Amino acid sequence: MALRSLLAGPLLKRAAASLSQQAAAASSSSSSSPAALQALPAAWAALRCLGTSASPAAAAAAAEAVAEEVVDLSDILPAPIPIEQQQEQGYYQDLIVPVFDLERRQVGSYTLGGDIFDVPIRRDILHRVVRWQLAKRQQGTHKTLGRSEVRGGGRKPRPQKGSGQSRQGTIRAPQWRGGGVVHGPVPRSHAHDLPKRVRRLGLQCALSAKTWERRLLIVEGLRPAEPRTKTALANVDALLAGAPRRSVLLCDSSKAGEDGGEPLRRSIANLPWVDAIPQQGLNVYSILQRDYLVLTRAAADLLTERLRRPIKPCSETP
Amino acid sequence: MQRRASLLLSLARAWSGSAAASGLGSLSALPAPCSSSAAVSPVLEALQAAGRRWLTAGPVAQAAEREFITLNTLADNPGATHSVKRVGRGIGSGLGKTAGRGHKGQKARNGRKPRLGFEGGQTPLRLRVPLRGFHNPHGRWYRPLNLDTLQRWVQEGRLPTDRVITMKDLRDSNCVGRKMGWGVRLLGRGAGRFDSPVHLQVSGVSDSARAAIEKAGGSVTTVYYNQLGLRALLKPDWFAAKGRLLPRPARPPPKLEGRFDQVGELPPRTEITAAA
Repeated sequence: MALRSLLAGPLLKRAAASLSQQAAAASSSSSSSPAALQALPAAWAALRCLGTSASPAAAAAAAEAVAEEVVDLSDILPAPIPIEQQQEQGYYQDLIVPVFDLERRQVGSYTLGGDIFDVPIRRDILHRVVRWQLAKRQQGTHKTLGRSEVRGGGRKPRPQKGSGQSRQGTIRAPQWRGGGVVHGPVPRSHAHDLPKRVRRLGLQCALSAKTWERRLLIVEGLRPAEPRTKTALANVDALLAGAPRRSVLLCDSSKAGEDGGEPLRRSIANLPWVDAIPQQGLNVYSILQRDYLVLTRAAADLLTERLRRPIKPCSETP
Repeated sequence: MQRRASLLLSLARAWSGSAAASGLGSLSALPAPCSSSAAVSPVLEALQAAGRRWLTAGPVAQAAEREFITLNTLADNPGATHSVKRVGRGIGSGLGKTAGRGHKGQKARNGRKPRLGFEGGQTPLRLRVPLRGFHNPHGRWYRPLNLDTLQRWVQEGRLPTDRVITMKDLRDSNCVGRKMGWGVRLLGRGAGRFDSPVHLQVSGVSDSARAAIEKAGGSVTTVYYNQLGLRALLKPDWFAAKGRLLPRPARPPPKLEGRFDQVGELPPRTEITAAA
């Protein structure tokens, strides 16, 4: 039951999105809303069929049981659409994109999951994740000397009374030239926490942004014919033909993967505007740092699987 | 198209993760974008006018107008962060000399402050004012449950309709909260719109609520549980885990005799009888 109530949101939203699109396609006039609204109860009915006999007493067990079943969602979820038909962003719509080879010839097609590649782009979430990443990598080796750490200053510089000047106890006090610093920086970690769900949402937002900007490419593999800079340069030029800039992040399945691996990294090592990253290391900052993102098909598969895995396997809510 | 239900979970995750998108969800039922790709839907226009920058602009055809997400265009929501209060950093800051602590005294120093409510030794207010009211040790508080809530739970399929609904069902489905007192008492808010034929076993029911339920074709039986019995009803597993038997049903005390239809059974019988 809890599962179904959770699901009702996105599914209904997706269903409504597809319905409204169909309605828009069907009637060229602007009064397409009644059709969409009439179709909504049908979507509800379809959703209701989902929750069959889960008793509230064993919600967790029911969720487990449902997870074991293979559910036919084809009549609920809208069919994937070619990416050119994506009119609006953030409707969790599955998108069909072409798959290229390294010469930018289309060799197939790939379906991007709408729950990862078409989530609403939250700039605030991206900002928080980037801040978290940059803070975490900050080295934190900054230090000044306090009054107790500056060398010298043990002797009283002048007598307490009778000099006609102010009372002073040490030449390293903060008001002295060459004195210590009050509350100066000390070596520390700048890292702070960010919930895992926010981090994951950030990655989804970054991927969705690249998708929406049409700056995400899916390729069959990234391993160059021979591990030479010249080959890599030709490949990148071919992939990004027509692009105003050539800044690109290449993502393969792993550092030892067949679809990239060591030859890829060797060949692009001297290209300053090209980075390679394994799928496991894909992150918001690296994605946003580069204009284009190129995923291999294997990397996209692994990434989708990874981002759909529940953060807490035992929890009812993923 | 066969997919595993793990996709369902991930969809739900995508939904729950983006709280700000929930507003969009309700909007999706509004008029669909448009027939020509050049125009923008009124909904999107309104959102952009409201400064919702996270929603990227416009149809795909107008690629030039699309805002690319880059590192230099990120920002948190307005009001999401506070700036740090820097005390003791000069006159111009307004928090310079005494750093907002006033002049001299215990509260101006480092370390501990006098405890909350301490008035420097004089009898504090909470001791000066005489006590008022009393605590009734014999009072019995029943968890109120109104018919509109019950109706919604039944409509959403969160309560069983093929058998008698007990207070355990109400608790397990989160229809009532954790604090149960001496049981659940049905009250009549939303009685006019109540039309679910349900059969219930609860501790108490108001006249209007009973009338509404019976009008809808259901029935209510008031049952008596003492505190131990209520615990055995709500958490029978606790007794099993301890290796104990469920307690025998307790009759209501003489004072409450005649106020309940029957003594609550353990475990309760939930088949819908013909009489009900």
